[in-house]
Amino acid sequence: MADDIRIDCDQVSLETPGTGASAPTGQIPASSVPASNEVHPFAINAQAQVAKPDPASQVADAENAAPPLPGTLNLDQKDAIEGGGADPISEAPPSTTTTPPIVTPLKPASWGVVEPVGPWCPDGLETELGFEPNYQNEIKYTTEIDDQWRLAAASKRGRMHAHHGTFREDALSTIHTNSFSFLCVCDGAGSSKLSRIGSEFTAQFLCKLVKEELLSHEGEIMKCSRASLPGNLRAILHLCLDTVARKLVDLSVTAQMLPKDFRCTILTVLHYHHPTGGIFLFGNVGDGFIAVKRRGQSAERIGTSDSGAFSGEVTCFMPDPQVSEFYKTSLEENPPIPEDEVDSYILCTDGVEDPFFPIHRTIDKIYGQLTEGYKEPIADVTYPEGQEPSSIIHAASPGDELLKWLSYEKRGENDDRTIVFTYRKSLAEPPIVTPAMVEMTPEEASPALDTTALPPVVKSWAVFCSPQVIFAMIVGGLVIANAFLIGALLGFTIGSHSTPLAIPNGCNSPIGP
Amino acid sequence: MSFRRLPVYILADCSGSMAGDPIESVKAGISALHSELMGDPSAVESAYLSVISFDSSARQTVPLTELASFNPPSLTASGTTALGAALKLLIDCLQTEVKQNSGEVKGDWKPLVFLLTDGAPTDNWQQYADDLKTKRPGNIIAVACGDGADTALLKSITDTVLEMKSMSPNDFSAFFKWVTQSIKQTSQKCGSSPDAAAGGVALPPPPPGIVIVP
Repeated sequence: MADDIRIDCDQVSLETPGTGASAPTGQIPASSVPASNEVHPFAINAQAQVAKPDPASQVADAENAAPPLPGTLNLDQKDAIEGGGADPISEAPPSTTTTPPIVTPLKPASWGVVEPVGPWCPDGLETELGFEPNYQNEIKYTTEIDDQWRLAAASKRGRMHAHHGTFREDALSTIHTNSFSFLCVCDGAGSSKLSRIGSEFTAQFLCKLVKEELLSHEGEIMKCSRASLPGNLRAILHLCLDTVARKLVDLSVTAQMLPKDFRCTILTVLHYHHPTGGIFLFGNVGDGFIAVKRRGQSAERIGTSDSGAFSGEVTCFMPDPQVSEFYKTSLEENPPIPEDEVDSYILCTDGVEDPFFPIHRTIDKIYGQLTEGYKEPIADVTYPEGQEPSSIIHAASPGDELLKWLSYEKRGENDDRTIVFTYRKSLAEPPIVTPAMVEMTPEEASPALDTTALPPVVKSWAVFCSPQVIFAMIVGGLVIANAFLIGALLGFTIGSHSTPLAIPNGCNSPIGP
Repeated sequence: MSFRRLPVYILADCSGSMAGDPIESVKAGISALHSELMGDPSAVESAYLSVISFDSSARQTVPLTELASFNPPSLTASGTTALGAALKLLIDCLQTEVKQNSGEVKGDWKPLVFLLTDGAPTDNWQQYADDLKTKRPGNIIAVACGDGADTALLKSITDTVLEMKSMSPNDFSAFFKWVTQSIKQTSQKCGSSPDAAAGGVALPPPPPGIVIVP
């Protein structure tokens, strides 16, 4: 069985602990940079040091106390010992005070916000990428996919990366043509040195390759049967992922690093508009999740997350050797869904999955927040007062509102966060309301008849002619009139010859295939 | 409120041979560790500390406690070395105090365990060592202090054994600074980690004076 612990002897041994994790060149240790005014609810007090007890006073106290046991040292004196420092007992001057030391309770540190320092990509590698990377701390956009569908996307650098001045490691890419949409969300592995490049490369290159392949095979795909469509599409997606994995390994060689230094997870959704009907296909490797809201049903998670017994134990990443098999299996095991069953769907990295865990219990409430706005916390996830998000689908700028939705707070949840939310535009349209359906007050609905201006004769009639009475008289009259009409018709038909009505062909069968 | 914790257990040998500078250095080291971790917001949010001390018996001197509420314990040294009792107590604590992933609850991070001992155990320890070695309920780092500790014995508990030849205050201080950095580094990992699945955590290199036992 492999070792659980790896002691990284490649790291420079830190001389001054307290500067955060090992700091690659170009990164500013968090403790040396003034923190921003960002306030965190769990640790809002300024950093403070324990007031060191005065060794001199401690020596005096020791002299006044009972003599120490043989072979032991006075505990108070020894508390003042610093690692590597001189023995304060032998060097401390005699004290004349007897004041006990004042010990200030330790106050927890607060989170800072530091801009990333240094290049996003090592020298010479950026030209090998073949695309313009998006490495801003935050991403937000809205896409009008077509006349039916709209997409909102947002990605936010997590508090951990913000505190240490490192780059966001989540990535996303979405592409649309007249015949399909393809969405890809990736999350760089925390312990991989260049996972931010791995995730961005995978998301962008996979989208580019899928677009090329689907367009080049569009004629054949459009002609294939409904039964063979999912398999054909899966084969193309699988082939594209294999190619991306190989390219990422090549990139690692160019960078003179290892493939594991570029590790990331993958979530993909393909929405294909086919003559036999639109279809969704889903693929995933690693953690994070995809969820679908079918019309008239509760939201459901697609597939399962790979996260192990303890938090964060993913077993396979891009571009590990087994990623091809993992992705292929996920495409096959996640059943395709017909387009007309779907109202909306989301892709999220584990920066969303973990705070709202367990997703199978919270996904409906998450959808509620996305469609109706924040009302109450889900799974202890809250927002700073006054920053609660409104409905995404009704927002003037859904992408902006979705980024606001990502600004939730929960203890221990400091990872990057990414969500792509695609939904039918009809969900955002208000219901059609006629003037008669406008809600009226009871008085407006049944106004009292104003009889003050009416002549006395008419007034007396008005007492009997309130709206309710008039309505009842009209209905009664109609019933009586219909009874006479039906009786007349029956009398006519009994004495005459009648032929059956002709039913057009097919009308007796249910509508639809 | 549910959130993921990083449980950290320190198993401190408090037998008679640790009397004097060594036990005082351990106390000072734990205190310094606490103080240093309070300066790291990710450690403040996630690290929970526990101290198990053992001499002629073993006890959980400080139960698993969040950093902001942790009080460094007062330790004294006397008696024999009930390492077996300490390992058994550790196993019990890991079972009762650490949350595992389930379908409904996101579990704690895999615990970090730091075991310091300067001599041979005086009780039955083998079965507990075997249990820990095979089940690996935590990432255990054993530290052999001085010449009296048996590194081969510690290897039967965990693959990761360090040796601190000198037991001077400076060496203990440097060791606890390394422990602090290890906890910080582990608590700062966020998102997916292949190390956790394949093996556990990546720790910084030990300071001078402390060597990795191959």
